[in-house]
Formats: sequence, C-alpha cells, structure tokens
Amino acid sequence: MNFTADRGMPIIFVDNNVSERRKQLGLTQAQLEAAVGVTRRTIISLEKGKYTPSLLLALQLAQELKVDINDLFWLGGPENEKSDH
Amino acid sequence: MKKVIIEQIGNIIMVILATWTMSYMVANSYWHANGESSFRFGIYGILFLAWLIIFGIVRAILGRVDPSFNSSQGELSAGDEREKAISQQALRWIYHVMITLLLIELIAIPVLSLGMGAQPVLFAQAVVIALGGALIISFIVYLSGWLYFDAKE
Repeated sequence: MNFTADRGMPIIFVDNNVSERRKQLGLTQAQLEAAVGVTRRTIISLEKGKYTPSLLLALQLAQELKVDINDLFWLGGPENEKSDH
Repeated sequence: MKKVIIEQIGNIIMVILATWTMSYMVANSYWHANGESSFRFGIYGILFLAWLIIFGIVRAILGRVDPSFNSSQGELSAGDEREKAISQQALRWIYHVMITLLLIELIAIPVLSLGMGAQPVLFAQAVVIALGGALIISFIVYLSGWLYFDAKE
C-alpha cells in the first residue's frame, strides 16, 4: 500500500528497516507478530516494503524494536535517494 | 485469508441452495385469492436447511481455530489493520459490481415481465435466479478482490 502519485509527480513510498532491526535484536517474525498483535503476513509484507503501516502500528514497532520511529521508517523514492538510512 | 475463503465458499453454496429452493417453491406452490395456500420446498429446502446447520458448525469451529475470525462479522473479520484495509478494498469492488448488476436487473426485470407476462411462474423463477446470481457474483468478487489485494500487499 505504497502511496504513489501520477501525472508526473514523484513516486513516494515509505521504506523501512524493520527486518534488519528485528534480526539485530534476535527476534523472530513470530515474536514480533505476537508483540505488536498483527498477523504473520503483515510482518512479511511490511518487511518486503509492500505494506505501509498505520502510525499506531509504526509506533508500536518502533517501541518493540527499541528504536526511534524515524530510524525505522522514512520516505523512499527518487527524491529521498540521498537519505542516510 | 483462510477464513475469507471458507466464509465465501459457504455463502456461495448457501445462496445456490436458496436460489434452487425458491425456484422450486415458485414452481410447485400456490396461494389463491380465497386464502388457500400450499408451499413446497422439495429436497432443495432440506438441503438448504442442512447446509445452514453444517455451515453454522463450520463457522463455530473456525472461530475456535482462528481467533481473528468473528462469526458476527463473517467475511469482514480482520486479524489486524492490513486485513481490515484489504476488506475495505474488496468491498469497493463489490460495491461497483453490485450496483452495476442491480442497475441491469432494474432494466431487465420489467422488460422480462412484459415478455413473460403469460408465464408468471417462469418470470418469478427468472427474478429469483437473477437476484441469486447477483449475490453469488458479489461473493465471488469479494473473494477474488481479497485474494488479489492480499497478494499485492
């Protein structure tokens, strides 16, 4: 559910490093799924960057992964290529 | 995903049996002006009732196996926000298909009534099949939409 714009507007989507951070903490997808109360498919979809979570879920994930939300999620796309993430 | 597939297949079977039952009833029942009436549902009515019981049991088991399934919400049950979003997108598909089918039926049924005025039973069966068909198509569209958006997101 990435947000894209047409008519010449740049493509904007939300990128994340949930997978990397989860692995750093030694958590399995099942553990993360149970911690934030979503289904396994949602975690998989989120880690693949196919699903953009709500602000509430993003905050829950940041809390669970012990990281600032801005370090976990950021705007992706051509205009954000120079991001330091 | 499993809950949506089970729920929609169950709904489709239920509507097929209900359509058959009503179609049979229309052809084999009467209701005279003097109040005398007889309603027959045949074997289809028994199958319909049997399916309602079986489907009810299946839904009860599903509710125990899958905590994200809510029997009062049926196919709209969502395990999390992503499934809720998928349901909403699938519902949009249903909305478009249902409105289109109802508009077609709004025009087709009166036209049919003119052509089949001398055969009221056949006309009533045609209406039952048209309404049942619209419901079945809507269930199929919801299921297809759900599977499509689930794979996409």
